[in-house]
Amino acid sequence: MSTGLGRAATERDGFDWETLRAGLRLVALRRTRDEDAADEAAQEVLARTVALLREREITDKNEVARIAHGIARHVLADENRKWARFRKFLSVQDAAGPPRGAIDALAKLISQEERERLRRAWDKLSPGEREILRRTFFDQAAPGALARELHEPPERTRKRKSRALAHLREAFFGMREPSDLESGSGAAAPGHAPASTPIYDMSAISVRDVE
Amino acid sequence: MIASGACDEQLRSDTARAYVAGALSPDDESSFERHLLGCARCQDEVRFMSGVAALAGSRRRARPWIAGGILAAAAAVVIAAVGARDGAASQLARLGATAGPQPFAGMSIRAEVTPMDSLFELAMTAYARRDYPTAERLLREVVTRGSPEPPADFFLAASLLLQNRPAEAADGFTRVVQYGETPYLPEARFYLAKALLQLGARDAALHELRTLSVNGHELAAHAAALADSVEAIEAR
Repeated sequence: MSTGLGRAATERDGFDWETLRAGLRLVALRRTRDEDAADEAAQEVLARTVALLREREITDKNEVARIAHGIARHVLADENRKWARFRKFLSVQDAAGPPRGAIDALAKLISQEERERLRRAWDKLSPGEREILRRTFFDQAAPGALARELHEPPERTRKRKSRALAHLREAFFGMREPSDLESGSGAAAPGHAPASTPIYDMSAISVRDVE
Repeated sequence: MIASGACDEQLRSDTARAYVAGALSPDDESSFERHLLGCARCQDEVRFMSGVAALAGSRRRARPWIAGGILAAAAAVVIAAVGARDGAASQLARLGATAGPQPFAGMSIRAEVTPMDSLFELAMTAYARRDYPTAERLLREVVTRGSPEPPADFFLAASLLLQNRPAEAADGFTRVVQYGETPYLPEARFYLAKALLQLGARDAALHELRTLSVNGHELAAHAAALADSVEAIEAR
């Protein structure tokens, strides 16, 4: 999908619009669970953001993501209302468990090649490692509870989980290190040009059930 | 609580996993999304975590049917023991059993609002509370009085399957398959296979499962595993 901004606008504004577009699409896909709706929402948010930036003559690039996110919330709320009537009903199983619909929707952002690499790496994990990941990702088992179930020290469970994830991560990203995306030193994936990352303090985030 | 620090690897990993799982508080989710919009690395991590989560969930759901490895060996013992008493037909029927409503990701359908949509909503409300007779009655009205649509046909067939009426369900799922490429096609093939298994139509069920197992859809792993289990019954 084109942002409709054009290369000149991207260069003139000095902001990584492609990363913003990819991020908007990801956020929209998670909410709407529909690729067409996510594309439309991302495009609309981008257009409104650009218009607002020009109208207000905002020059602080770190404000762009904040503004875009604010607009996205409104657009996605409208989108959800508009589409609610036509949305298939989630099954009882889906509604009661982890957000499978959202997970499956986000998984659409993964290429077939990446999916295959991930699947092959998964099959190479030990049964114990796979079970730890299933319990962690699917059942949302907390690390402490998982260690008790496995009758092993939490540190050992944590290490096994980390090792399994590292193996999958290596397979998923292939030869390309994720850090290349920001440094621009490697071959960036489509839609992931080197980013001018807004300042962000992750210390403000708390995660439930995460060590 | 995540320790203080910048967007480093561990924080990115934990936060992305929590975001995918819906485990962040609304405020934290909002903060992370603002960051995500400008951070390609975190976007990649979310994609990665989504892939792992989908794989973990998919494999878990596929487990009861997995024909390879230890589970298959255990299943073979069970099948052998049961088989001596019940025969292949009942084993196939067991593989065709459905325990509950079909799990679906939300899928939106673009259309103008019509009176039939209200009826469809009522039907699906009944479906969601597992009142399948009511869902069936209302969905029949939608199908009869409205223009033919895959959603109504699909959930009508699903309601029939969940009422242990596999022959009627198979007819319904066949209609959905005949619509061609719709978002409902993979699931329709899968549950058509289930209905056919309940009817003892092994070869027809295998055809549906094998068709589904090679098309790369998320249900492919389930279909392949179920097909393996079906074939294992004959091989025994």
